Amino acid sequence: MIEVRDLWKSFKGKQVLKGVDLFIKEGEIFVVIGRSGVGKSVLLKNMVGLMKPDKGKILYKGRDLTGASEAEWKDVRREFAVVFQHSALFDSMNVGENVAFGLKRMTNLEEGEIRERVKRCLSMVGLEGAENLRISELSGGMQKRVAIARAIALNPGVIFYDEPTTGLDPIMSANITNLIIKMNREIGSTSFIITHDLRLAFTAGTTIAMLHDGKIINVGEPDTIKKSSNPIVRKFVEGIPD
Amino acid sequence: MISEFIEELGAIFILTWKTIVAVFNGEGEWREILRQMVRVGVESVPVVTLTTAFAGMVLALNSYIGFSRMGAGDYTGSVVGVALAKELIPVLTGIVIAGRVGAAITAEIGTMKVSEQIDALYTLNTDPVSYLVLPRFIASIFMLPVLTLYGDGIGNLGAYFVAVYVMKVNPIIYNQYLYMYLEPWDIFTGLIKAFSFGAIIAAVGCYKGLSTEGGAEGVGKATTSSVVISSITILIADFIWGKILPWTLRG
Ligand SMILES: Nc1ncnc2c1ncn2[C@@H]1O[C@H](COP(=O)(O)OP(=O)(O)OP(=O)(O)O)[C@@H](O)[C@H]1O
Ligand SMILES: [Mg+2]
Repeated sequence: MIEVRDLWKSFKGKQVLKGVDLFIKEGEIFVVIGRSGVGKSVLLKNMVGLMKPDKGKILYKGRDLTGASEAEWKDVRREFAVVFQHSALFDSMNVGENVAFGLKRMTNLEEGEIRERVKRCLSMVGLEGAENLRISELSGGMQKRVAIARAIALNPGVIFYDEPTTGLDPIMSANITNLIIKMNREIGSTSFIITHDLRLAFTAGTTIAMLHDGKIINVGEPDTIKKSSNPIVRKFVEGIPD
Repeated sequence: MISEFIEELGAIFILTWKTIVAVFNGEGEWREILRQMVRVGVESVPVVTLTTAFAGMVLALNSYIGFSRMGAGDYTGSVVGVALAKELIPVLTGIVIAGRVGAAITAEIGTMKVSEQIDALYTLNTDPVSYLVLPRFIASIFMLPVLTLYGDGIGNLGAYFVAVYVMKVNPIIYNQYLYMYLEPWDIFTGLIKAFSFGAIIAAVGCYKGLSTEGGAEGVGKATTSSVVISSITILIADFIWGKILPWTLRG
């Protein structure tokens, strides 16, 4: 469904991605793991058009997005949803307005239908009746769930998650992990997760890829990765200090 | 340092241009524009009242002292009126609003940038230029002349108060000279300047916000530099207007 071919990206002479290749099948939960600062967020931002790669290709359903115009990206983004690392909720609005934002701007739904949809999305993430809460009143875990509700509101074909469990307690992390699996099953969206949370990766992932030094050094099913003989993967999976 | 400043000016011009294009494409939302107008205009009234009143009072005081040495104390009103309308009120209002509104715009948009809210806008197919910049730009360019006109009134009241009640200038003569020598064109010059200062404040404020990097510290730096750049640019623009306006039209 999504293919990344030989993706390169640098900042002011600092080479972050050095030829990343990925292939994500429809309906799966694809997880990219890697240490802090290897460029996971950069990879995701290139895939959703928030950054332009220096070199390489991104294909979605066979359509080449490299060098796509803003109008073409707008078209593709109707099928993409992103849950950002820090949730990125609009703090000038309440919970309901955040979830309704995309519905108001990208669909022709009427006021009442939007309200219905917002209600349904919030109840899917376990936040029924939270419409009128202010963003600053929410805990990190609740913000994450609102961000997921905002993402699923538009019935996306692909949901991108940037570190969905970072900064949450173990129980909340497990809840979010279950929520991601549930969303994948119920909405049928393909999911792309980047994380360094191994529990999330091994519980939710159907395919896991490890990003290291700008490249994917290992990719496979969770069991394959767990038993990988690659020393760098072993070190990461077992959490061995430098 | 200079080349960086020029580079930034270029980027600010591009942002302004995109905003103007968005305006002509009808991308503005009335409710948001109105909300920003209240924020820039109505909420700035107290601070503008205070600064312009004192500017008028101080200018009247010093002008009277100087003029009365030449026996021309009665002319205080006219000279003060012209100086206030053409120069002092637009520039002071511009600088005060750069500190109040420009800083707030940068802090708000900068916080959105570092917390990935701007990225989130893009993924929800919302262009930050039409959604965030446009309403602030329109509000600033229209509210600055309004505040300046209001400041002209307050500044002259302050001047009148000092001249008449403190320095004991004859009120009838004060007003007579003021109306005789203050021309509508003087006031209009000030309003044209204010309009351009509004554009500077919004464009610099939004640009600085959208280019913020580096967390909370970055927001602080961007906010400071937004106020510094817009204040300097206002002073430069004021000088350029001072050169252009008299010879293109009439002084
Ligand atoms: N806009 C940018 N400008 C300059 N450098 C950047 C930019 N974005 C990212 N980088 C650099 O790219 C590298 C990778 O950053 P990235 O945010 O992708 O890391 P990450 O793998 O997501 O880490 P984390 O797990 O901490 O989120 C970092 O060294 C960072 O400094
Ligand atoms: Mg990251």
